[in-house]
Amino acid sequence: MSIFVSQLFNGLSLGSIMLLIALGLAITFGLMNVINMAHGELIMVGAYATYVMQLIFSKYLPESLFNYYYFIAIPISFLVASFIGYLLEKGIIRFLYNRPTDSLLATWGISLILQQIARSIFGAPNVAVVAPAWMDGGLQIFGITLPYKRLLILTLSIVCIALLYYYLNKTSTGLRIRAVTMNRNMASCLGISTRKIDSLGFALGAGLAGIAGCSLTLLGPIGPTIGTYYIVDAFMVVILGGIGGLKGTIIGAFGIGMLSTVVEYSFGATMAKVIVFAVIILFLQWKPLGIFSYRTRALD
Amino acid sequence: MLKISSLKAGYDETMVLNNVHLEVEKGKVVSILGRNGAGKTTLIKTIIGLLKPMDGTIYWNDQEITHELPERRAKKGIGYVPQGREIFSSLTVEENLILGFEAVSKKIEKTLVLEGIFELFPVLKEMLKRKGGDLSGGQQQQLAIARALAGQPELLLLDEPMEGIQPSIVEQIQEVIVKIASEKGIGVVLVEHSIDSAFACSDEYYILDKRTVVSKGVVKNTNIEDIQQYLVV
Repeated sequence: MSIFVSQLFNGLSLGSIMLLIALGLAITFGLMNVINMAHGELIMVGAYATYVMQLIFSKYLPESLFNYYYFIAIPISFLVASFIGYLLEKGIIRFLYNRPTDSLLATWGISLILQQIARSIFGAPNVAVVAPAWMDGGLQIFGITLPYKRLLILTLSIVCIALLYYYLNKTSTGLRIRAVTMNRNMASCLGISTRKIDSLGFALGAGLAGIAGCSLTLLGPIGPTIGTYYIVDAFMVVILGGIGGLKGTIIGAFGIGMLSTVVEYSFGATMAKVIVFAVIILFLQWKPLGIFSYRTRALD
Repeated sequence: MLKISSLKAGYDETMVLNNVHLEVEKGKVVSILGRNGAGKTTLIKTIIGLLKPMDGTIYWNDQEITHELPERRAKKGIGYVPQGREIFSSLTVEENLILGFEAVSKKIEKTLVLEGIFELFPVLKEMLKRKGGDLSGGQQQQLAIARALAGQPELLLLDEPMEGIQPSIVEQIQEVIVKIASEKGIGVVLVEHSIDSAFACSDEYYILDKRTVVSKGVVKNTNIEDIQQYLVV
């Protein structure tokens, strides 16, 4: 029983990372119909940004501050990833709007280029990010150990989602983003600068991927291809959840995250992938548009 | 105020409009009539900028706007109420109205503008917190017009605003059109297929047929029988 519960908890924290990744994808796909295969590399950017912060803190700053480097690394990885995302959008992706298949190939190319750049800078082997000592160990509840790192990841995701929810639903820029997602032409006719909203949405999604990368450094070593492990699953979350709403993405991410960790524990990693995919395919037979979708009318 | 000359427009290879000239003055209601498929909606979409013209020019207050994006035109004072209304159905009525203010670049007293709008459409005030999609067709149409008016337009483009709407609300919309033109000096382009409801609130009319303007004139000097030939199917 206790093993099952701790697996469930691991699933919860995996799900929360998936959620951060998938939210960015959902924003870009919902907003501009671009399938961004380079999204995984924005995770990598966030992870390496954390790695660099760790190096800076251990080399140049007094040791007493090292315990807190992670709290600086979170916003830094958000900012670096969103800046690179912004450049990508301005430089390449804006030419691919409403061409999902072209965007898929082009962004895949971008992802290879970004991986190679990372290899040139940081070397091909994985690097380990040293977590502050206080993150080791865990919280003991009813004989179950909940690792602090995973608790931190979970908390981080919840905070991010709360902030994103607030941003999208309570601010005027959020309202603009939602309007453009729902009906681009009408939003434009009302005077909303859709180009600005696109760049903003893309940078926001990239930044969320950066935070996901930052949290991945707590779970294991990172390398140039770290993003590719997560991108497919993240796309599954988006498809399962449906385009255009936070709610579907949240349910999809935790569903897939929990299902895969629990199944993995009983049947092994490969079987887990097969079973999860089969479940998703079956689900989409029943609900082709995903759990929730705003876009029902746009499709007919 | 709005001046269109030699406009040629359409979709991909299909030309829908050719050599169209049109002028709208401040405070005048101009209706665009024509059979189904005559190009009325195409004309409106070209004026707001959703369609790029193949040829010809569009002038707005003596400034050429032929190649500008819809969002720029909206900011310059052109409001648009599309066919099918296109309100944001999962946003509340209030949020829909707030989005209408996007076109206004200068600081304005929003509550005051909203008060004015609620005077024209009292029903919206009671429904502020409801989702746009929960409104009836007539209420959605009122919301769409209200949203466009929130943007403080100098010109309002209305694409079949009375289509499929109960008679009492049709009357109300006609009253609003006349009122905003005479009291606020807003120019209105009204696309209609029914000549009677168009003439009930217009100053001038244009009839589109065979890709171009076949008849135009001042409503009060025109006998409906004389132009009916262009509209009967």
